[in-house]
Amino acid sequence: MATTLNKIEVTCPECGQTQAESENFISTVCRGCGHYFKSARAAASGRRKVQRTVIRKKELACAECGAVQEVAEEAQSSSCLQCGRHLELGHREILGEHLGNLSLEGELRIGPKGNFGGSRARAARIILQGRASGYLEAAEWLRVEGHAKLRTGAAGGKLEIRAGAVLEAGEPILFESGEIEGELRCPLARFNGPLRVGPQGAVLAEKLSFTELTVEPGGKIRAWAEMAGGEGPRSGTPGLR
Amino acid sequence: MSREENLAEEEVLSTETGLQIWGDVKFREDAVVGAHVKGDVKGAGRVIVKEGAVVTGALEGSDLRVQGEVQGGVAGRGQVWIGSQAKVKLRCQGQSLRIEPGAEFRGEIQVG
Repeated sequence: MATTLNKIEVTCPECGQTQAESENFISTVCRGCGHYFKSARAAASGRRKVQRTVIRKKELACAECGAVQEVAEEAQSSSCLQCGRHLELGHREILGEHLGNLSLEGELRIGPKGNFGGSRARAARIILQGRASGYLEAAEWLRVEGHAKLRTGAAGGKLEIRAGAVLEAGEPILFESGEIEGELRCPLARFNGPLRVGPQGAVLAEKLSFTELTVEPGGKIRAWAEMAGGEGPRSGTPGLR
Repeated sequence: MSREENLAEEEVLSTETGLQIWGDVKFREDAVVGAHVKGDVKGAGRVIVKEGAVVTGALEGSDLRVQGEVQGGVAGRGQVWIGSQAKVKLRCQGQSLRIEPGAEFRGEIQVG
């Protein structure tokens, strides 16, 4: 059975002539002036653009050889193009006992009841709330949020000890900079950059070194100290006059 | 003008640069030390050790600002500031402390 198409009258936008077209027409040519034009509905809908998925990438340095490569931001693992090392990119949380070494390019959280029992854990960022028997290496920062104990030591970019938190370490602590709002107890603490001890902060160490030191009123330090080698950035001269 | 701002102009018992003093020096008020003092320097108020000045003994005061050299340690009852050109040995005591990058310090720190 044939379907009857309703006709509508359309006006050419160029010359104003009217002509009959199917009510579903998309485009046509004016029979008076030859102008090609689209129906109002087709013009309004426009052309659909094909959206391609953009894969965001990030730079990643291999913990083994240091080679830098690009990986997708959402990737969970990769292999170093230089040395072939397997790179674990995700995050890890230790809530109980963990034996064995760890090497992550993401974040490692050792919970309040967690205990890292391996000999070495490496991650971009480490949040320490519990204990660790092995050495901790945090490329970007190590943040202490609870009463944490390290049987050995730790190293990395920045050491942050939050207010009320305590870090007890049995071996040297080696970082680029430090923000101590809680308490740090260790035999040796070396900061290759600035060290700041906040109003509730305390550093109790046998030996301490830094390039720049700020101890705010209320903060506490008991240590034999010396300036670390290398010059830090020059700064202004606030304080007394 | 505040007390802090006019310290260098009005309440100073300054020793001139180049002067050498053998023995301990005591200041009753705020002081600026610009001399080479072979002994201790004790101030009742704030004490500034200027760049080029040397104190071979200990330095004491309420607030201390060191830009020169102190060989016998510094003990402040308040703020202690060790500038980027300063050299301090032996010990450093105070209620708050700032050691600028470039300063030389080696000794015991007791703050707070």
